[in-house]
Amino acid sequence: MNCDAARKSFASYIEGSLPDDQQRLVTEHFERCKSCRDGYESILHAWKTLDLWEDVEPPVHMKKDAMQKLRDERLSDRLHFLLPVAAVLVIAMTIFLFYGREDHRSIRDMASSTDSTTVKIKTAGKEISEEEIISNLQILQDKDFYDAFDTLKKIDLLPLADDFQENHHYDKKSSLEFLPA
Amino acid sequence: MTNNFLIVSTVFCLLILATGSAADELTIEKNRQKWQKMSPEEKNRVIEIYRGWKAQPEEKKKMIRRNYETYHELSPQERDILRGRFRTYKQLKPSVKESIREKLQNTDRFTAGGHAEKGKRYRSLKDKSDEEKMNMIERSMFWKSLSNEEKEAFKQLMFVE
Repeated sequence: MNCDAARKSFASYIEGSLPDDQQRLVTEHFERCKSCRDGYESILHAWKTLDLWEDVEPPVHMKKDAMQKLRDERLSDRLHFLLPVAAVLVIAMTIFLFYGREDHRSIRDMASSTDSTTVKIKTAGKEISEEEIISNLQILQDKDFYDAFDTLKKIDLLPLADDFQENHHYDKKSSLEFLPA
Repeated sequence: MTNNFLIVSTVFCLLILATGSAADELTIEKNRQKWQKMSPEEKNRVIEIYRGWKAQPEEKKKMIRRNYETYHELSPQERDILRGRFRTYKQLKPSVKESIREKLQNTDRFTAGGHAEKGKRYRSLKDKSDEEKMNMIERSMFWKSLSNEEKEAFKQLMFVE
C-alpha cells in the first residue's frame, strides 16, 4: 500500500470499518512510514477530542420557530401572488354592484316575480309578497310624491330658448347668465 | 407599491359594500317595524298601492326609484321646498295639475338635473329673488302657454310657503 491510499483510508481505519485485509495493510504501512503514522496519530487525536464534546439537543422551541418561519415564508409567497388577484376581484365586484345597484334593486324589489321563500298575503284570491312590500315601504307610502318629484323639481328651471328665438337675440350677449348648452 | 395600492383600494371597496349593505338592512328593518305597527286598514291601503305599482311599466318604476334616491341626496332646505310644493300640488284641481305637468314634460325645456339639451339655453331659477323669478317666468313661452287658472296654480307652486 502506498501513502496516498493509506491517507484516504484514515477515517475508515479509525472507525474500524475497513475489510480485515485492508485494515492489516494500513497497519503494516504505518509501521514502515513515519509520515503517515504521524498524520494518522494527529487525526486520531482530533477524533478523540471531538468525542469528548457532549451532544447538545437544540431547544424544542427552536425547531418549532424554525418550522414556523418556513411556513410563514411559504404563506407570504402565496399571498404575494393571491392578494393582488383577490384585490382586483373585490374591486371589480364593487364596481359591478355599485353601478348595477339601481337596476339590481329595481329587479329585486320591484319586479313582478315573487320570492318563493317570502310570506305571501292572500287578498282577493291573489298572492302578494310581504317581503317585497316591506323592502319598498318607504317608497310605496310616498309613491305620489316621488311620482310628482320631476315636475316639482323642474319648476326651478326656466328655459330661455324660446325667448331668444322670439327676440332674435342669439348673436347678442344677454344681461342674464346662461348655463352652458 | 402596487400591492399597497391594491390593498387600500380593496379595503375602500369593502367599506363601500359594507356601508351600502348596512344602510339597506337598516331601511328594511325600519320598514318592517313600521309595517308591524300598521293597522289592517293601513296595510290594505299599502297593498293596493303595491298592486298599482306592480302593474306599472319597468321604466316608470325605475324613474320613481331614481327620484327617491335623488330626493335623499338633496339638502334639507331643498327637501322642505319640494315637500311644500307637493302639499300645494296635491290640492290643485286634477285637470290643472295634469295640464301643468304635461306642459312641463312636453315642452322639453325643463330638465330634472338642470342639464341643458344640446343647442338650447336654460336658466336655473334657484338663488333668485321672487321678483326676478317672476320676471323671468313671465318672459318664457311656457308661461304664455298656461291658462289664467294654471298661471295662478303655478305661482302657488313656485312661491310655496
